[in-house]
Parts: sequence; structure tokens; C-alpha cells
Amino acid sequence: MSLRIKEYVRPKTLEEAYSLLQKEGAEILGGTTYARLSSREIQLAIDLQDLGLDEIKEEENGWISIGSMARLSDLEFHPLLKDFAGGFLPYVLSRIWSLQLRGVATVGGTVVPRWGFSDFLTAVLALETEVEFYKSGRMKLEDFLEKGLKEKDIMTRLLIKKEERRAVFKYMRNSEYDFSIVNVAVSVKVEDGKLYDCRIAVGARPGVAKLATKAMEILKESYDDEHVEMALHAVEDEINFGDDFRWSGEYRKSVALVLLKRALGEVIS
Amino acid sequence: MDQVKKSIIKKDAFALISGMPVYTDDLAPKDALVIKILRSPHPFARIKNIDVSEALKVKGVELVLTHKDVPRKPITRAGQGYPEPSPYDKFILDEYVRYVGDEVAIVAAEDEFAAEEALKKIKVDYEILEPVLDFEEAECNTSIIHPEKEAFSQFDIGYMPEKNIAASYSMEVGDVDKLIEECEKDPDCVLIKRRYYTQAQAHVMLEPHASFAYIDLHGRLVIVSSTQTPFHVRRQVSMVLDIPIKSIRVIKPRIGGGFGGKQALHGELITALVTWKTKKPSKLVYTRREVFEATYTRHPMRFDITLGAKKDGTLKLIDVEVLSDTGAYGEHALTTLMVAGSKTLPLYNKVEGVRFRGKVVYTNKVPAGAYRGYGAIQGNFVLESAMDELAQELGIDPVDLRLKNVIREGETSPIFKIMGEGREGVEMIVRSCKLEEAIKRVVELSGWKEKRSKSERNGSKVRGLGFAIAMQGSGIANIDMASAILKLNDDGSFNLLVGATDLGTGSDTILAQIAAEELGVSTDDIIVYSSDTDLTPFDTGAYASSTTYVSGNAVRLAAKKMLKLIKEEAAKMLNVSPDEITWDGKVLRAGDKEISLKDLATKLYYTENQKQLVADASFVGPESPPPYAATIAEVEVDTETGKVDVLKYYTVLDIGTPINPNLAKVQVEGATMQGLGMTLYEDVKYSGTGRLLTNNLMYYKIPSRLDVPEIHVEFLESYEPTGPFGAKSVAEIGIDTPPAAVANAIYSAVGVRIRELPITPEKVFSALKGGMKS
Amino acid sequence: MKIRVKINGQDRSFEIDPSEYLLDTLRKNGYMSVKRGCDTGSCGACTVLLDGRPVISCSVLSASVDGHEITTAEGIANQMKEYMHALASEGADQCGFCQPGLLVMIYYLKKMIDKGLIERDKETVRRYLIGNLCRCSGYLPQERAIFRFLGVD
Repeated sequence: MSLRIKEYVRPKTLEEAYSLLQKEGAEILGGTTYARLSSREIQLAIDLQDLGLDEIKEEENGWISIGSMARLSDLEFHPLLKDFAGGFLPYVLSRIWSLQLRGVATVGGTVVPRWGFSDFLTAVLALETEVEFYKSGRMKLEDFLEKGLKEKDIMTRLLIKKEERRAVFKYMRNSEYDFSIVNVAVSVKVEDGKLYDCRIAVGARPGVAKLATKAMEILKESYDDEHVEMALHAVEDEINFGDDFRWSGEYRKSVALVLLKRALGEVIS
Repeated sequence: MDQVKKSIIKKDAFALISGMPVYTDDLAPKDALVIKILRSPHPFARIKNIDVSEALKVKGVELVLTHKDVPRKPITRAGQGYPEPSPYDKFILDEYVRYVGDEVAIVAAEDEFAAEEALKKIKVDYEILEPVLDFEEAECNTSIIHPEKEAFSQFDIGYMPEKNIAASYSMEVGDVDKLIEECEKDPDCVLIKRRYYTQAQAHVMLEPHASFAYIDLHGRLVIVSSTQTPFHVRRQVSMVLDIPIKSIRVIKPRIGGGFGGKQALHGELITALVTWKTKKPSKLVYTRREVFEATYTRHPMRFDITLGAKKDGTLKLIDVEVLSDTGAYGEHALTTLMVAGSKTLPLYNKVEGVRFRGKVVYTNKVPAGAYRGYGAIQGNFVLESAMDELAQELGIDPVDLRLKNVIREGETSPIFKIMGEGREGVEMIVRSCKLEEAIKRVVELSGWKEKRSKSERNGSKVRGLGFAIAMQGSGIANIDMASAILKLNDDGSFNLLVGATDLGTGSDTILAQIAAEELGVSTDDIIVYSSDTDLTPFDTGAYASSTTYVSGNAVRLAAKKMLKLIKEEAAKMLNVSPDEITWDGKVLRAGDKEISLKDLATKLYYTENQKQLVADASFVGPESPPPYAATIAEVEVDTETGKVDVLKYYTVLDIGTPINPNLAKVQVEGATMQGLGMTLYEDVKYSGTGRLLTNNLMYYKIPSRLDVPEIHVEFLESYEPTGPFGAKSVAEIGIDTPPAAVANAIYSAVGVRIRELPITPEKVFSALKGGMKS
Repeated sequence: MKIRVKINGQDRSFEIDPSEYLLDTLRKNGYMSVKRGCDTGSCGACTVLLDGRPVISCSVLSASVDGHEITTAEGIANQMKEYMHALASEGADQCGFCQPGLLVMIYYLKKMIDKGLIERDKETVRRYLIGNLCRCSGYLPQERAIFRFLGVD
């Protein structure tokens, strides 16, 4: 059983794509990576490959702009990300499933469905990241991940603030070639040897990545051991973890705290 | 010796690597009907009514079959020698469906889309029955999984379907109850009783099961299949479909891995049926999901083991009781159970008492069947973990405990005679056994003594070493039969025709090496063809570690005969007696007369004393000489997360002569990773309603290349006098030791004893949190 | 619908169903080196190059490759003889089912390493090959050959 597509189109403009999308049973094709696993029927499959949405570039105002049709492997090898935050994103990307899958999977196909298992979403959530839609405009990634969109819209770009950040990503897997049982990402801004604005994201809970905002607040006061300890307690309270058929929420939580402690240790040191 | 003990490149290597179309699905006729199977969504149900009228209306649909349209003849799909020690409890299609994935209807259509469309249009009215999903509650459950009257067993295998028992077995040497009682009372004795569980590992051969069929110019049925057992396929298809054996031909092309999963019949009966009915070619290629949900798994088992020993480490008794889960059908139920004893217990042959009993129960789950190391890996995990626990109790080094009790060359064990596979075994003196030497060598290689004496800790990570030993067999004694035909060509090369089925291991090449060695020619001059029931002689098939030993012996005997024929013919040509002929691999000489093999062959074909030289031989192993392994695994456990990394893995083996050392080593490396997969990663999960959840390669995790430790494989010099050029088997032995070696290493590192496979980080974590309890 | 593609340097056009995946289109048209191993983008047996980058063809819609270039093992095997020999010499080919997909990856990695885009390092190479599953060999014999061929140590 696999996905059935009635009709396939490649619009030439965003406007055209958008109006096609409003039709009953119309869907945007993401990377099509997981499409095969579904037995749905799509009346109209819209392929955005002709819209130039695969561009990765630095904006003048200090943001890295990543087109929604950029493949994860394009990102992984892009010179712009090589040195950003100590090569944080290529590190995370290289650990997502396989290179052959990353050659198919797109940024939009990862962000829009808000995949719970995603390592990438956890990583970018720990940076200052925004997501842009054709009609709905630009919004913080955390807001989109939490609320989603009400209307059918087309994601155009992911935008990552280009700033000096020290970032660490940790994940727990049994076999290395697997989805993460749980993952965490932590980043801090570093200015003159001082730490600011720590962002903590926890994903594969197994729900989609979430910011630990209370913990982040606590660390605004200090990065000493006591505050780190308090932040970890806060995470325990504010982030919920669930069971799936492979791993229990209890285990995820215990491991997430261990990983966070290690990640915080690394970014603070 | 220059063709054996030599790492010759596999004969099919370049074809395989470059992607030539050599597998079943690559070869299927383009116009073959595509077969799809409607499978049961319920673990246990009776089909009250099934309506296929709408499905038949789908454009391109050729045929839809339900249980009403197929012969109601019970079979076993096990793919074993006849008569099989497995119950005849399966129908091609039945009114009852016994697990989620069981066949409900067969659709054959012009293409996949039409076939899938038709599947959706079949209307089935099920009477849902209460399933048995917990194998510990199967026996005497009110739900009887096989109520049908037609099912039977060919001989007594302890088959009691009314109790949901597919097979049962018990044996005892000495009075074990009495010994246990003595041990309990004797302050100089230690007794341990433990319970262990093993899971339903999946084979995950990369090529899913595939077969296609067509009618040949004589109106015969030709089946091409990725099978390990072409002759069993022919026999079973003949029996069920009532087609004479003479009207069936089964061809095995290249196979993309088997590991026992292709020993059984899966699609062949269905493609045969569709083609026989329609007289059109048809093909059935399983999806990966079908391979998981509707072929076979390893038998999950529960073990209760009792070991008794004197305080000095002398093992007095072994008592093992097994409950095995065969799922919905009883293929290999009895044999797998028995192997859990027969391929482990002889390791400790000096005990005063040994008892082994067990039942194999039906459940409404994916059927279990043959899988590399069957029974042995389960039994080995238990016995070798328990030996480690015993060593701990006794305060004796686990290695010393083994050395005190293991079997040695020239010794025997009563088990060999008592326990065969599905019936009595054969008496056997162990003629080659370098187990003791292997133990000493692996201890030295791994640095066991130094590393065990101190615990290595790095932050939250702790290291530990674990030890285990194992034995296997080489074919099934007195049952497995192989034969070979050698044919001389007019350029002096030979065709070697064997029914043995190379699954990718390189056995075609190994058999060619054996022929070449005996004939004194180069392996390049042996052209191997396997397997085709029309053209190649009988072979029970590639299973039970039989090919090198059983088929290899047949090949060697055929080669001996061929050499004799060649010398006789040369003697006639040269006008001398055959005794005077000497042979250097190219030229036959007698005194100053000589003739090259090529000239001899050309003359025999075209000019003088014309004839085709053909030699054949058959072989049945009167014994099944065990290969042995001693293994030490070094692990690192993260005490904060429970994650286990195997860092180093040392294994030293006695496999007799490695005919092709490279291919033998790869067998051990591959088997080790399958064993480590079962130990650490390959978790099997069902939903509460009996649906397999780990039914794809995203959720069912076989080891990836980043999970591979440093593996050191070493073969000891050993020679098995009954084997071809001293060879024993190597295919399975490597899979047996990883579970116990790793479990023992984890215990040594962090003091927790995991008795249930797989050893997931969550289990280790929970055990650690539970206060390092064992 | 109709698509036009360049496969192994040759212009081809195929009539396809919009629901069809590249794996099926390729096999239907005789590119049998592309193997179906899993259907879930996990095994790597169906790996081909799409515009030069490795993809799992089981997860690429055929419609989406209209106008693109594809390379399969058939198209590069004759440039990979040294690698094939290295692999065979280790006995690492085994059942062979994963081999054409792996061959495509090695071809790609060699190019990337030569260009300096991927590090010449064991751990890196292993990680880039993680999506090529093998159940026969335990990977080690493959890697002995691959590392030798790529000059990685």
C-alpha cells in the first residue's frame, strides 16, 4: 500500500502554487521521504521544485536564509554553515538517518509536518530561528511548532539568526542508525567571554521539539552549578515526555536530563 | 594443498557487485501477473463470508482466490527432509486466520496498482475469535488455535493441538531430581536456578522473498525462487497442488541472503497455484513489511535453568526447561527446541545428571521458523549466562569454571546419541576439538586476566569483559543428503553440478575449491551450477551448517571418482595400466608416455574411445562434527543512560580446515553482528491486539556499520578427519556466543544481570536504578 | 504522464503513473541494479545518484525527476573495477544484494573526498555509508576494502 497521486503539477510561480493548494485534496510535496509509508490519496500533488526555493544564502541583516526546498544534504555541505556556531548544524545533519535520505528530505518537509522525531528541529529551535510562509508571513519557529498554521500555506524559508553562539546537540539512540530516543540542544550567546541568552530545546519526547522556557529564564540569572541544577529541575516540570511503543516517557525524561546536564556543562565550560 | 585453505574470490563476485540482473525479481518475465495477498487484520478469526465480486471487476485483474478455491490439504512449509518433524498444520488458504498477516485471499493482476486496488475491494466478514497472544498462557487455553481435524504430524513429535502444543520433548541422563536434592543439602555444593527470555529475531536478509512461475514448452510448471531448498519446494508443491514431481522444475538463481528464512516455502505455493490455474507467468515479491509480518522469526523462548556444582567448580548437573513460542504454525517447532539442548549441553559432558524438557506452544503471532543458529543461540545465551552466574556464586573465574568442565578431543557426550534433530541422534566421539586451546587463546588475545582484575571507569562509563563458549554441528547426521555431478569438458575443464544452494556465502566457490583440490586442477577450471531440480542432483538444501561438510564431502567423492575415470581413460590411450598413471594437474604420464588432460578430453569427445566422462557421488553425514568457539566481549556501559557499547570482540574458533579463509572469516564476522543485533538492538514489539509494530527497517533495528565493534576472528589449526580436507562447518557457530558474552560483560562492568533479550539501554537503566540488583 | 530523464548519460523518456516511484520506473525499464530491499528508505539498496547526489530511489517520485539526471550502478561499474576487485578480494560481496547501491555510494564518496568536501577519515566514511545496510558481512570485510580503495586510514 502506498500513496496514490491522482495528478502531479509543477507550478511556475508561488501565487500559482498557492491557488492550486487551495483546491480540495491538494497537497505540497515535501521531500516525499515518508510519503511512501502512507496509503492516502492525493488529488493534486504540487511540486515546488521550479520556484527557486532551494537557495541557501546570508541575508544582509544577519540572518541565514534557507529555502524550504533546500535538501538536508545541501545544507550539510553548504560553506555558509560550516563554521557557523562551530559547525553545529552540519554535525546534527550528518547524524540524521542516511546521506541518501538527506538527499531527498527537504527543510520544508521537515518543518511543516512538525515531525516529533526530528533532530533538525531540536537543533534549529535552540538557535534563534524563524519560519516564513507565503501568506502567513514570518514567525518564530517555537510559535509555529507549538501552534501550527490554521490555513493551507506554503513555507518559503527558514531563517536562522547569524550570531556568535556556542551550541551543543546531544542525542540518545540504541543503534546509531535510528531515530533518537530523545534529543536535546543547547546554545548560548558568547560576548567578551560572557554567556547570554541560553536556549534549551528538547525533542523526540516523542512529541515535537519544545523550548524549556522556565529553565532558560533561570539561567538568565547565573550559569553556576546551583542554577544549572535548578534549570534541570525546571525542565523536569515544564517538558512532558511520553511513551511510544519502543521507549517509555520515564526513560526519555531521565535520559533527557542526563543529556541536558552534559550539554549545559559543555556550553558553559 | 593449493586450492583449499586459500582465499579465492567468489565466482559470482563481479556479477553481484556490478548489479547484473541475477536475482529472482530481476529475472521475472515482464508480462508476469503480479500477485498480491490480502492478509488478516485480526490475530484470530474465522472467515464467515468472503465476497470477491467487486475485486474481479477491477480492470486488469486476472484471478482472485479464496480458501474456497484452493485444495484443502495440510502441509508444513518448513522445508525440511521428508518426513518432516513439523506438524502439517497449514493450508494455502484457510477458513481460519491465525495471526495478523495470515493469508486471506490471493489476487493476480496485470500490474501492482490493479492488484492493490482489487485487494481493497474484497469484502470479508470475520467472526473474531479470542486470540492467544501471551505464550506463557497458551497451553490449555480455552482458545484452540488449530481445531482443524486435517492437521497431523508425520510421526510422534509431541504434537497436542487440543492443548495448543505443536511439539514437546524430554530427556534425562542420571536422576536429576535426586542430584538437585543432594546439591541443596550438601554444603559443599552450589545450586542456582534462573529464568531467561529470548526474543523473536527477524532474519532481515536484504532481498525479500520472491518467486515467479511459468509453464515451459512441455507444459510443465517452472518455479524460480529465492529458496534455500529447491528440492523441498518441488516436493511440497507437488503434494499440495497434486502435480506430479516430474511436471515441476524449481530453479534457484542468486539469492540475496537467507539465514534460514528462505529454508521454508513462502511465496512458491502461491505463484505455483496461480500459474498452474491461469497457465500464465506470475510473480510474487514480498514487501519488507510482509517479510516481517508474514514469513518467519526466530522462536522466542523462556528458559528455566538449574545448575549444580561442587564448590571446587565441578559441574554436577544441568536441568533445562523450555517454553518455546512457534506462533501460528509449527514449522521447526520440535527441532528448534531440541537444538537448544543438543547444541549446548555436550559442551559440559562430564556432569552426573542432565535433563532437558520443553514444550512448543502455538500463539496467534507471526510464525517462527528456521533462523541461523536456531535453538543454539537461545540455549547458549541461557547456559553461558548461567555458567557466569554460577562462577560468580562459586567465586571462581568464569574461564576457569569452563576449563574445568568442557568437552575435549577424543571424548563424547551421551547427548549426541539421545538428541538429534526431531529424532534420536548418533553416537559420536569428538574427533576434532580445540575448544580448550581456543579458550586459552581468547583469554590471551583479549587481555582477560589483566582487565578483569581492575575496573575501568571513565566518568559515567564503566568497562567490563564477558566470556562465553559455543558449539554447533555440521549438517544433520543421517538425514542431510547431498550429491554432486562432475562432467569433463573437451578443454579439460569441469562442470560441477550441485543441488546445494549458495545463498551468498560463497559455497559454490568453496565446493569448486574442494573439487579442484581433489582433482589437482585450478578452481578456475571448475564451472559450478546450482541449483535446478532438472539439472542438478539432489541436495536437502543449505541449512543446518551443512554445505561445506555434507555437500563438500559429496563433491570430494565425485572428484575422486572423476580422477579415477580420467586415469582409466588415459591408461587406455597410453596403453598402460591405470596404476602407472601419474597426474600433475595438466598432464597424465606413464613412463615416457604422456597426454594432457585437454588432449585426452578432446579425443574422448571426438576421435578415440568416445565417451562423456561423468562422475557422481552422494553423501550423508554419519556424524555431525561440532565446530567450537570461545569468545570474549569488552563492553562499556554508560551508567547514567544504560547505553551499552561493545568496544572489542574477540572470538577464536575451531572450524577444522577453513577451505576459504576469507569467506570463513566473513561468515564469523557476519554471524557475530547478527548475534550482537539480537543481543542489543533487535527488539520485537506487538500491539495489544496482536499486530507486529516492529514491521519495517525503521523500527526493527539491525546493527548499522557504526554499531560494529573491533572484531578479532582467529581460527585455530584443527583437522576434522571426517570432513572434506579436514573441514567442519562455520555458518552458524559465530552467532551463538554474542548474547551471553555481552550479558556477562555488562554484569562484569556494572553488576546488573539482564536475563531478557534484547538488552536495551532502558532495561540496563532500570536495572541500574533498581539498585544494582541481579 | 511522460517524463524525460538522462540515465547514465542517455536520454530516455518513460510513460509513468504520477504515483510511481523512481525505483519502480528504473526497474521496469531494465535498470535492475537498483534493488528493492525495504520500502521505507532504510536499506540503501535502491541508491542512485540524482543530479550527482545520492538518493534513495524508493522515496523519490518519478514525476519529480522529469528533466533531471540519474546515475545507476550500470552506468559506473566499468569505472569502479579497482573497487570491485578490492571488495571481492575480501570476500565481502557475499549475497550481493546491497552491493550496487553501495557501489554508487563509494563512487560518490570517492569524488567528494577527492574534491576535499568529505574528510578522508574512517569514522566519516562509515557515517556517510550508514544508510547502506548489510546483513551478511557484519560490514567489516566491506570496510577493509572500502578504506583501502579510498585511501582512508
